[in-house]
Amino acid sequence: MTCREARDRLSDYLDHDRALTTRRELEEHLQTCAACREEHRLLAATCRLLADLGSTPCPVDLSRIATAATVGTRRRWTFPSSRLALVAATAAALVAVVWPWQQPVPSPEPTGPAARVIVRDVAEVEELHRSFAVQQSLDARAGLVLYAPEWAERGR
Amino acid sequence: MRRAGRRLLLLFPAVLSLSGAAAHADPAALLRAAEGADRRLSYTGVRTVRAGGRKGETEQRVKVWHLAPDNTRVSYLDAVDGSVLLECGPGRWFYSRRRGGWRPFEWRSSPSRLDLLLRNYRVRQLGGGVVAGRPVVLLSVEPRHPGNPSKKVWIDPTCKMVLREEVRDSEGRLIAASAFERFELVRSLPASLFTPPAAATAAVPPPPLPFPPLRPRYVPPGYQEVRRNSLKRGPSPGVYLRYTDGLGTISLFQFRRGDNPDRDRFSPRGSHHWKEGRRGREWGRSDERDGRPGRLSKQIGDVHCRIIGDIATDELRKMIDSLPAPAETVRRQ
Repeated sequence: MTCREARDRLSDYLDHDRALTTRRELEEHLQTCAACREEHRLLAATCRLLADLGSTPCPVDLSRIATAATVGTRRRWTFPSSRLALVAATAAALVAVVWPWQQPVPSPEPTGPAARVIVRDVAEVEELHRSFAVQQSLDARAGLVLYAPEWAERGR
Repeated sequence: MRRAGRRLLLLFPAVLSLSGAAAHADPAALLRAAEGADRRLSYTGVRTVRAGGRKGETEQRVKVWHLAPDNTRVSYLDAVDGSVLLECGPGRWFYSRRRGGWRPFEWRSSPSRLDLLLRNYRVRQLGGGVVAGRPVVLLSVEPRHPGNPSKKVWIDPTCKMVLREEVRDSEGRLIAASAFERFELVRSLPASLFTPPAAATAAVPPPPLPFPPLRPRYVPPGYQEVRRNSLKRGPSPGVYLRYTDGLGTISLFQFRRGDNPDRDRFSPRGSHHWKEGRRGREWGRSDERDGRPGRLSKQIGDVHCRIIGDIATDELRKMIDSLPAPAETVRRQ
C-alpha cells in the first residue's frame, strides 16, 4: 500500500468503517511508515478534540429551512422564491459547520492531569489494562517507562 | 586470650557468609528485601522493559540514573531517542524530543502488594546466574490457584536489587519483562540531573464515578478490587474497576451505550453481534474469536462491559456472567 492510498483510507479507518477491506494492509503500512503514522495520530487527535466538544446547538433552525427548501410550494409564504431558500439553507449549513470551530477548543491540559481518562477505542482500553498489569507485575517505574512517552504526548 | 580473639576474628567472615546463605534460604524474605532496594540504592544502568499486548510487544530501552530515595532520570534510547522522563519525589515530567519541550504530567502509580502476592503465590529459589555482570539468585513465583500468571525474578543477593524479571501467563505468553543490561551502584550523582524543569503538577482528586458500577458476584480466588476510576469514551461515561491478586491484573470496563450501538466505535469491527437474551438485548461474546483469550464483552441493559485479564478465560467468563442486571433493566422486567 502506498502512502497516498493509506492517507485516503485513514478517515474510514478511524470511523471503523465496515466496508474498509484493507484494514490489515493499512495497519501494516502504519507500522512501517512514520509519516503516515503521524498523519494518523494527528487525525485521531482532531477527532478526539471534536468529540470532546460535545454537541453545540445550531443557532439557526436548520431543519425548518431545509424542509422549507424541499417543499417549497407548500412553504412559499416563508420564502418568496426557491432560490432564496437555497441561499438561506446554504448559509445556515455554513453557520452550522463554522459555529463549532468558533468555540474555544479545550486544550489537552498541558499543565495538569486530565480530569478523566479518555479512551477512544479497544486498543486504548487494552493499553490502559496493560499499563496497570505492567505496574502490578513488575514495578511502578516499569509501567511509567513503557507508557510515559505516549501518555505524556496525549496529555493524559 | 589474644589467640582466642584472633580465632573469633577468623570466624567472623564465615558467620557473615552463613547469614547471607540463610537469607537465600527464605526466598520470600529476599523478595521482600528487594522490594525496597530502589529507595536505598543509587545507581546507573541501561534497562529494557517489554510488555505483551494485543498487537505484539511494546518495548522501551532506556538509560537510568537513580538517586535514592526518589529521584530518577530516564533517557530513552531506540524508538523515542532523546526523550527524557524525570521523577523528583512525587513530581513527574516528560521531555519530548519531537516537541522540544518539557511537560509535567500526573501518574498515579500502583503500590506494590507483596503481602497479597505472598498469600496467592509460592516463592522458591531455582538457582543462580549472572545478570549485567553481577551474580544473582533466581526466584520463581508460582500461583497457588491454577490459571494465573507466574514470574521469575533475578535478584542481586548482595544489594538486593532486582536486575531482571519476567511475567508470563499460564499459557507461557509474555505479560511483562524487564532486564538491566548494565548496572552500577554509585555513591552519588550530580544534582543537575534531577533539577525539575518546572513546577510539579498539582494533584487533582479523581472525579466521582459517573454511575454506580455493576459489581461482579464472582471474583476469581485470591483477587480483590483495588481501584476504581471514571473514564470517558467520546460522550459515553464509563467506569474502570481493577482487581489484582498481587501479580495478575483483571480490568473490568463499563460504558453506558451510545445512541447507535451498531456503530459503536468501542467494539472491534466484525467481532461482535447483538442477540436477544434473558436480560434483553445482549452483546455476543464473540471477542473470543479474535484469537486471543482473556478478553470478553457483554451488554447488560444499557451498560457495555468489557473484561480483560491474563487469567484463564473460564474465570473471566464466570466473572462477567456474575454481573447483576442494572436496576433499570430489572424494573423493565
